[in-house]
Parts: sequence; C-alpha cells; structure tokens
Amino acid sequence: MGLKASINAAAKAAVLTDAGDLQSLVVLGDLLRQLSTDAASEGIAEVADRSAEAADLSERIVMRQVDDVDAAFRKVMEAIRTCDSACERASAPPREPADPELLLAWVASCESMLPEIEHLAVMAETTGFVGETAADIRRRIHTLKGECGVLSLCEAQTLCHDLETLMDASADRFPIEAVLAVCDWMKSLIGALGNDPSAQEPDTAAVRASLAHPSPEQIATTISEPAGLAEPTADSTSDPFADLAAIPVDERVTINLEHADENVGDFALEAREHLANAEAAVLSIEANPGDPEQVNVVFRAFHTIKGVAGFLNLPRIVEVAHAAEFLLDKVRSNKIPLTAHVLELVLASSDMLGQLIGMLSGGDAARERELKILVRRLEAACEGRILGTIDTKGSTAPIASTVTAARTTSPAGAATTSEPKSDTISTIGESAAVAEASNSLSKTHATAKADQTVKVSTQRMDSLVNLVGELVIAQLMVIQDPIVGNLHDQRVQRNLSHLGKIVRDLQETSMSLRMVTLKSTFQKMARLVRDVAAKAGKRIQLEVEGEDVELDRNVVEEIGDPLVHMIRNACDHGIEPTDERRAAGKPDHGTLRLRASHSGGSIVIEVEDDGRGLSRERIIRKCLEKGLIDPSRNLDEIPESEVFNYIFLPGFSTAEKVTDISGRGVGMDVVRRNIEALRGSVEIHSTTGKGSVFSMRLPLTMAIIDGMVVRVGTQRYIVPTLNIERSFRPTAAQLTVVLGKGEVVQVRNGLLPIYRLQRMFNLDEGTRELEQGLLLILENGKRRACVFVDEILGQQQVVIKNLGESRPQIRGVSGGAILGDGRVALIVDVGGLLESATTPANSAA
Amino acid sequence: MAIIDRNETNARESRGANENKFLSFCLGSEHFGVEILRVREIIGLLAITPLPQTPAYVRGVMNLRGRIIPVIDLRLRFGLPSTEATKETCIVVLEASEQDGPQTVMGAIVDSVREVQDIPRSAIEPPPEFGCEIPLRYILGMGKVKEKEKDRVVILLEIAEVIAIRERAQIAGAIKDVERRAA
Repeated sequence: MGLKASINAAAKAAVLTDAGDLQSLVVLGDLLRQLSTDAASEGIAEVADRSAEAADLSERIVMRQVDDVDAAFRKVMEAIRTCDSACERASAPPREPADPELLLAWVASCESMLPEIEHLAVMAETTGFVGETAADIRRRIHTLKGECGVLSLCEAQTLCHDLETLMDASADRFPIEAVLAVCDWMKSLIGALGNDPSAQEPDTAAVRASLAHPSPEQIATTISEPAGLAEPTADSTSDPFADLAAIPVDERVTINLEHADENVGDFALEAREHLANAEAAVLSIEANPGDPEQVNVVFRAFHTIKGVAGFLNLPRIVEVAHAAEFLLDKVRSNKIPLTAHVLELVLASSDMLGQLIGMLSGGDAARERELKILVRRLEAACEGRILGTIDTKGSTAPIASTVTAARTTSPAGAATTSEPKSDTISTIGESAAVAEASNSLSKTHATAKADQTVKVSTQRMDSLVNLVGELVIAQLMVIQDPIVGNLHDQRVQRNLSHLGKIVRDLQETSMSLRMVTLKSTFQKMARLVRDVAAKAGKRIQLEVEGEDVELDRNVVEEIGDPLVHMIRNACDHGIEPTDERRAAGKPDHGTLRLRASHSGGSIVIEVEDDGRGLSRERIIRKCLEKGLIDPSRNLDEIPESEVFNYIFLPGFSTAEKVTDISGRGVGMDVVRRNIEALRGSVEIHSTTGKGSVFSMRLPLTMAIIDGMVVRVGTQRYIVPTLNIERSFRPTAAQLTVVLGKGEVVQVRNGLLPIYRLQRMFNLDEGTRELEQGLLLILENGKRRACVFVDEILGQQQVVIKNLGESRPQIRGVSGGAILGDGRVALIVDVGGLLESATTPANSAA
Repeated sequence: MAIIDRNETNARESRGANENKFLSFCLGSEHFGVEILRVREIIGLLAITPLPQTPAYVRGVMNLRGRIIPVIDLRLRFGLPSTEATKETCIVVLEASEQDGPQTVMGAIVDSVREVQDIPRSAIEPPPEFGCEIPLRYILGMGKVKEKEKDRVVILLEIAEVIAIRERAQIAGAIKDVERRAA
C-alpha cells in the first residue's frame, strides 16, 4: 500500500509538473527514485525498473540532455502509468472464483429472495412508497449486494449498489421498473449459475439503461416504453448526431466512484479552480484576442484536469477534458484559427466538466447525450468543421449551447450555430429547459459546496493551532497576573471573562479544524483484510462501524500502524482456517469487526474477531519459558488482564510458526508503544474459542488537555483532570504503613496505595509529611491509586508539547506544557505512572 | 513542504560559504568547536525543568519561544566536573539529525562562547587515540588555529553524536526491567 501511495504521489507530481519547470522535475525525479527503491524492496521488479528509468529520464531533462523535452516528459508520464498498473496487478491478484458450495447455497436462497423483493416492489407500487416497505426492499438489496461482493460477482454487486443509490436518490418516487429490471437480471444470473457455478455474469447493458437516473417526466413514459428502445425519428442523412438520438434524452452520465479514493475531493476542488481560471482566460481572449498566453492557460487547465482525472480513474471527465484539450492544442499550434465557435465550445466543455465534477460531490448527473454531442462537436471543430445543432424530431434545439449562449459575451458564439427556434414545444425542448433549470440549480449547489471547503496546507493549520495555544497561554498570563487579580473593577473583570470566552471558542474552533473522519483509515484496513485473508487462505468478512467518527488528524495518522498490526494478528492468528472453523461449528467465513465510537472524552476503536481467542495456557507457558512469571505462583489465579498484557512485551510471540504476515512478536509491542505515545490505552478481552476484542481508547485531540497544576517542592506538574477522581488532605487515622515501606490510605471505598510523586520523579524536595500535603486519587482504566503532592495550584487548559523531536520516552511523563510564567511543566502520564509504580524497581525506592 | 524545501536549498547554498566556520566555546580550560551550520542560536541561561529518569547530563527541558527543547550539560556529557553557573554560562541551541533520524533541536550548556573561527580542512587533523575520557565518536577532528600569535587546538565535535540521547541505552534499561521483574 505504501508503494501505491508513492506512485500516487509521483503521478500527482508529474501531472502538476511542467516540462520546463526544473525544480518540480527534480522533485519528481526524487519521488521516482524513492519509488524505485521501495518497489525493489517489495520485489516488484517491473515497477522498480520502470520508475528508475523514469527517474533517469527526468534527471536528463533537468540536465538538458534530451532533445525533445516534451516527448521525454511524456515518456516519464507513461512510465508512471505503467508502474501504476503494474502495482495494481502485483497487489491485486485476480479474484478467485467463489467457493462453489457457498455459491449454490446462495443461489438457492436467492430463488426465494428475489420473488420476495419483487412482491414487495409491486406492493410498494400499489400502496405507495411508504417507509416500511421501502426500507425492507432497501435492506434486502443491500444484503444482496453484500453477498454478491463476497461471492466475487462484481457486476451484480455494482448493479445492486447502483440500485441502492437510485433508491436513495429518488426518495419520493419508487423506481419500480429499475428494481424489477435488476430482479430479472439477477434471475438470469442465478439461472446461469445454477447450471454452471463458473458461468459468466450476463450482460448488464439493458438493465443499466433502466438504472439511469430517471427524471420526473420519464417516470410516466418508461413504464410503457422501456428505456433504451427510443426510436430515432430524425432524418439520419442530415443529422450528425442521429446515432446519439438513440440515447434517451434523460439518460444520465454515471460516474463510478467505487474505486475512488480520498483524492477525489481534492481533485474536485482543484479542478473547479482550474475551470474558473480557464473561463476567465476565455473571457479575456474574447476581449483581447491574439494573446497566446491565455490560450496556454486554458490548455493547461484542461490538461491538468485530464491528467488527474485519468489517474483517478474518472473516464467520463477524461473524455471531455481530452477532447477540449485536443482542440486547444490545435489552436495553440495555429493549426486551426481561434474562432468564437471554438471559444463557445471551450466554455461548453468547461460547463460540462463543472457538472461532471459536481457529480463527484453528489451534484445532479449530467446528460449522457449532451456529453456525447459536446465531444462530437469538439472533435469536429478539431477538423475545422462546425457542428452546432442537434436535430431531433424535426426541431432544432442546440442543447449544449443553450447553457453557454447566455453566458458568452460574444453573440457570435450563438450565431455560428443555427438559430434556436423558439417554437419548439416538443418534449425535447421542454426537457432542455428543465435541464437548464436543474443545471443552474446544480451550479449554485456546486458553488455552495465549493465555498464550504477550503484547502489549507497542514502547516498553516498547525501553526494556527499553535498560535491559538500560545494565545491561551498569554491570556492565562494576563488573568493570573497578581496586578490584574487585584483589580476590583467590575468592567475590567467582565471584559476579561468575555475575552476568556472568546479565546475558548476560538480554541475549540481551531481544534475542530484538525478533526477528520476515520473513513480513509478504515478503508485502507478493508483492503488489508482482503489481502491478508487471501494470503492466509482464509475467508474473512470485515464489518465496519463508526467510520464517521472524527478524530484529531495527528491521532488518525498515528493509529494506522497499530491498527494494521491488530488486524493482521486477528486475521492471521485469531481467525482459524476454514476446516478448523467448521469443526468448531462456526460459519466458514470469519468475521472481523472494526468499530469506532465515542465514550466519555475519548474515542474507542475496537477490533473484534470471532476466531479462536487468545490462549491463556499458551501465553502462560511462554511466560514460564521466558521466566516472566514466577513458577511458584498459582497459575490459575493470575488475572486475565495480566496474562494478556504479556503479549505486548517486545519479542513475545506464542506463534508456533512465523508467517510472512505476523508472528515475530514485534507487532503488539508497536501497538502499545504507539497508543501510549498518543496518551491512549489498549485493553484485551478474549474468550477461548469465541474470539477476542482489542480495544484502543484514544484521546479526541492530542493538542490540549484540561489539567490540574500541582506543586512538589519547587517543581510544578500537570495532572490531566480526566484522571483525577478527587483530592483530599489525609488525616493520620487514615494512613497505614505496610512493612515499614508501602503506604496505604483508607478512603470510603477501601484501601489505596500511596505513591509519592517526589520519589517517582527522584526529586530531593517537597513535603515529606503526608498530613501536610495532598493526596490525589488517580484512576486510569481499572487501576486506582493515590499520588502524593504538596499542593494544587489551580486548574487550567494546557497545550501539550513534546519534549523535543527525539522524544525521550519517560515513564510517567507524557509531554510538557508551557505555563503562564514561560516555564515548562511536565505533564504526568497517569497510566504510565501507575504502571511504573507497581514495578518493583520503583515501589521499593 | 515547499517552505522546508526552500530552507533546505538555502542551507545548501549557504553551506559553501560557511563550511569551514566553527563556533568555539569553552568547557573549563578546554576549547571546543562546532560547525556553525549546526548552531541555531546562543541564549542566556533560562529556567530549566528537570526530567526524571534521564542521565545526569540531561539537565531537563526549556521553553524556546513556545517550543520545548531538551537541554544537556556538555560538562557532564564529557564527564567533566559540574560547576556553578556564571555570567558567561550560556546555552548553545544546536540542530542536527541522527542517521535517518528526525532533526533534533537541543540546547547545550557551555561555560562560555568565544568566537566564530575559520578552520580550513587542511588545518583539521583526525583525533589522536587517547583511549580516554572523551569517546572518539564525539570528535570530528582536532582543529589547529592561531590565536594571538599562539597556537591552539580546538576539539571539533560531531554534534549528531553528542546530542543523541541514546535511546539504545533506554531500551537496554527496559530489558533489564523485564529481566528484573522475572527474577
């Protein structure tokens, strides 16, 4: 996956690089070089070779050792593309056909399922699209989709998916014909599979037509006249678009976002910018013809969009962008003159691209026919011909230009096309008007969307968050200043508290900027599960829940590794091979659940498998072998939590064999380290034979905590308020000394050990008498203990900073914070502190 | 990203001119030098917060304009006796990266800072084999300079080695912990 990311990076860089821009070329070269070494280490020779070649080539371009820079650059791009597909091939082995037994079972279940869906659909039609029935149908389709996915029936899966989308989109009208068409198709599929489990999936073209987004007018017509059969009525000898008339007026372009990744959002934003630039340039050309630079601007915009869209696998966008780019290239090289017609086409392309890009973020779908006509016109224009009209049912309705004519300042644009006849009251004319209306609607919609997100570099965002952190500190400095504190002026105090409120709001807002969803992380995990399962020869189903939970970006970045290890372990060790599962009476395919949820002030991410569970005996045996457990202890009495904790030790593995997936005993160590670095914790629950749950508890944000400032001698420490249960001054009666060393205090609910912070941090200052200081009852997970400090100085929010880049890992300290007087106070890591307190080395001190 | 790149290019460009420049400072009577490119700034002694469980030479952490950086005492680092701070005592903020490691910024307490000297390659000799106090990996070489008509030797330091708080040592400690627990 890392390789894929580097290819992505290189491709992105390549697209954005101009052959003349040496600096970018150098960067690109470096990326390719890196890619080559990465690929070589992963053993994908083709990628390694090709990227090395490309890196050499880009270096030679920099060195001016090539004659034709553009051609060389094209070669570099080509090489990246080859790498991409090679990587795809290497990482995604062709799906194996599903288990025939499973398939037959599914076929049997479908034989009853499909008629049920049909029945429900028909009921829905007669009784109206009421909630319960509709939800039922949707559920069934969804299940069907999932099953098809498991059985590698890709076509069926996408079909069900599209149907779902359609049902979601047409909430008020039930797309019965689509449901029925899909049911029919599924029936033919099942029939074929019933006879021959390896049968190919039938052609989906016909059923796809009925899945195309129906508009209100169409509903009435499609039932009597199935989509895709509309007869072209035009005189085909004179109409260049006659063949396109077969495409129903309302058929929409579909963009398959199945394989889209998170880059699509960025692309949409960038592409809108490019389109805006291109449009501005076109307008300036109109005002001031003969400026070759402006043509270049437009050309580059389409070129970039094409490149990125191609890379993101958005063929429809590429189609339009490519045609427009081709035309502009001809103009650029003076092969065809820059006429008003060309400009009009460019604007039309820009509009079409805008609409297609809008679809990425849920905008209205573009019309298939419009797109085809536009491409046809662009192609014709390249040959110097002008195709301006579409002639359907004898009427002239230049659909593509209705949008642009209004926007083009030059009337010539419209004039070159034939006059639109105002007396066209055919259905086409009407739907064109509707199209325009919905067009403008979707356009405002799209702009609104674009305004809602702004791309900001993470550096700037981090520096904003840091500055706000500084502001919080500065504000505290003012408020805690004794002079200010002694001001008993009401107005000053009121203003100060107002200021405090604004600062807090600002802080919250700036923190929320860093929140991102877990979606992309979880998506990566889905892929991982698939790969690991394939490697281990197991069937594993991943269920994901709560991918919309938001977390600090830094936290999300850091949990990737631990998650990978946990999931690998679960797939490799947790879930048993199929035969073992069968013997245990479990379903053939293992289930892995990945869940994220809010709990208190933190986020809990759980990885649950229904595998064999952790083997207590094996861990204990291994511990005895390694001498981690005192053999004289009663082994049955060792608490579960302690036993399971041993698996986090570095080098601890109970695996009998080390596979290429896991078993070296490094993984869980990484898990704990990373999570503790995030101030989180891991817990394991496991039942032998039933499965295990690994839950990570993570803070929402890593940047700011509510802390209690405590003093020990001259030193100040910050204890996270979340971990403090309460504080009190102990009386002599409450205190007991055990064996002259361990101190315990009696509180309402039992005895708690006392740990002195000064001892744990090796300070030779601070109060020694327990009765003169304060005890804080701290808790972390299930552990509770008292920590002894001199006094509490106050409560404040602090910005957590790490203690230098090399991050010296200190037990019991999670970081530092700068206090109001500019000095650094250490933040106490309660989990680590309580843990280190219980190790003999410290408690004996 | 872009900003970092630019900084790197700047550093690369200025490297040529400053390659042979060293900042010299004193620890007791000995003169040491560090490449000027590694020095970010020189500041007076600030409040330092001690860090528990670190070697004695790690004096703690301090606030460098909103950023927390570790501070080491170079005297203790080289096994020299510790002294009281004077008016001349100051912190040299150094920047270096361990092999493949992240850029580390760290303060180093020195007795006094002297000057920036040009020491050409030809005037730098490899460190002699002392088999002694200062481990050789800390030393880049011995620079010979003229100072007021007198010859003087400046010990040029390999900063990346000097400021690396050995994590290996800590891991070894952790392993010992485990062993002790087992015993």
